[in-house]
Amino acid sequence: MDDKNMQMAPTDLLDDIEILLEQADANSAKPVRQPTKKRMVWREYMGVLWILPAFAMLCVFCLWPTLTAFLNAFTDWDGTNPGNFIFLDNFIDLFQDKLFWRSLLNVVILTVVCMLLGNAASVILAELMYNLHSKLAPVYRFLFVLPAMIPSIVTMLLWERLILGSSSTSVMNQLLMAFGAKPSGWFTSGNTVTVFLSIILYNFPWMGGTSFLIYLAGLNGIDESVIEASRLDGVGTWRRVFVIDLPLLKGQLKYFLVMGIIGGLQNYTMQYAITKGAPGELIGDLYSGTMVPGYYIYNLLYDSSRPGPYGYACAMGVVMFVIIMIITVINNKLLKSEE
Amino acid sequence: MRIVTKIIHHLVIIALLFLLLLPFYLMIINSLKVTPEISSHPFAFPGSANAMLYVGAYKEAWQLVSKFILNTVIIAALEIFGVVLFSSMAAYGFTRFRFKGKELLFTVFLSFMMIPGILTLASQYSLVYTGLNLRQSIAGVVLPAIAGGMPVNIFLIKTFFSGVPDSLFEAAEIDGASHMRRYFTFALPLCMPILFTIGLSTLMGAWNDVIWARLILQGKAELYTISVGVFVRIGSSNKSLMYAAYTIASLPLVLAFALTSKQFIKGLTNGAIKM
Repeated sequence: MDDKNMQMAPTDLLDDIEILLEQADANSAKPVRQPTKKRMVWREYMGVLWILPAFAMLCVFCLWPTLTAFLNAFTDWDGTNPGNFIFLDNFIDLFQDKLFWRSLLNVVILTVVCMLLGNAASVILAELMYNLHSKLAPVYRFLFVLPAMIPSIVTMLLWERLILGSSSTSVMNQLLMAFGAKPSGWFTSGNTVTVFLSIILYNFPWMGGTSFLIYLAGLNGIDESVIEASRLDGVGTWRRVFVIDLPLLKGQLKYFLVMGIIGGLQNYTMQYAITKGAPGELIGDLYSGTMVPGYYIYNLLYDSSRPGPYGYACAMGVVMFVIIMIITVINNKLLKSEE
Repeated sequence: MRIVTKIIHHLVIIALLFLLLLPFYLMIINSLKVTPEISSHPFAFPGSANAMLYVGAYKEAWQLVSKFILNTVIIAALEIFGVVLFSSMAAYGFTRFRFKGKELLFTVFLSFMMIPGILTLASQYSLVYTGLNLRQSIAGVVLPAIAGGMPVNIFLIKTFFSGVPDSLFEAAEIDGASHMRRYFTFALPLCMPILFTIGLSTLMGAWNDVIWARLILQGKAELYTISVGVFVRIGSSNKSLMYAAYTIASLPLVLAFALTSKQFIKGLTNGAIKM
């Protein structure tokens, strides 16, 4: 009776219930027996077994790589053979590495611009949809989320080929020519500013399916009475957006701000799929124009020219980790102090 | 006046939709043309110039892409199974048991949400590719994905469990239900919404992942996932084939979304943040 882990033998549901009732009766009749302390502790420690599979996987695939990343930042590890301890050499190299500084600058610009544009677009769209009282609203919402279902690599390649393509028949070049301007090569123009512009223009009008949905859910969560009261007070829609809606969306805005920064600083899909870091000055054997730290690290995985590329990659990862941590902490402090 | 603003409102939304969907519209119409016509008239409706509606490319594209789709479905299914099982078990362990060091252990899990992928890319790649010898295998893609999603998923499920009144579990406990039984009959069904959300994000992660999957599967084309396959194996020389392949690659999730859009939208917004 006191063994709470006891298996219930009968499988028939009615039998189950009957037995449960009996047990409940028995329980209420007798004072509940206190399990001895030792036994209770032992039983509670069974919880460890439930956590064990997850913990084992965490150790192998997260904890171990994290530890080795920190340790190997101080070695000339080449990925297969253990490296020699070289003190701070990797970090000293890193601070003199022009390509690293350039990639840091690039990623900061891209992260800030893309995060602001993406969130502004999503919020504006959420407001447009929130204020639209129409039977068509679910149809619109469905269509706005649809592009999020298409593999991002397909969207990227479509943009590279059809919208910002270098041929004179791409959408943007047709537009330019209609206004009498010269067509551009966009991603392949060889001009750093133009390639940057292409990366930023990519996915115009920039709304993200999920973030739009979450902003819209946030707006729909605003108490009707607040909106009603503002209307009675003669607050127009435009003013309401700034005075009521945006402050009440602060939680969502904060979330996407922090996630946008953390994700943006690590992102290199665009470089990986399209620009390869080009154009710009060649430093070592890599282009610097649109290089970002993530893509630099990725390239080091295959780098045979540098001694100990994996150690160097880990050192760069550690620096990026520190930068991301500092930004996260500052963000949290700033956003907390506002409250 | 109100009618006018209403019409403008609709027009703005339709214009945005047009811009957003334009690339996909062009993808579909170009997949139905022959290659020379794509180069000369990319915006023309199929069949307008000198080619008829052209579906020949789809057959060839399907032969190329169907294998990649199947691989992705298998990988996504394994990932979802592992993520849901291990995360929910751990979350159950964290909510329904009381033992020394539990809080510390949970903090260890949580702290891995703070570890950015950029830090561990080199060391994790070396571990999986060389150390564990999982190169060119599905396990090399699936296992790190399960482990990587663990911290945030355990956190989400644990939050959900905490919302279930203790009395429910206590009643079952008094009635003699084993932990196994409590887990399967109460815990899992009650957290279905969040499990659906987690499954959905895992699926979309597997669908979109190109960098890691390609690093691990490099050189073994028969295991490529959809994103890797489309990126590596579909060249731009045969344009109608290329656009047909893109269209086929886009269809499965679009169809799933079209059929269950209500649950999908709920799933996408569920996990995040009620702040």
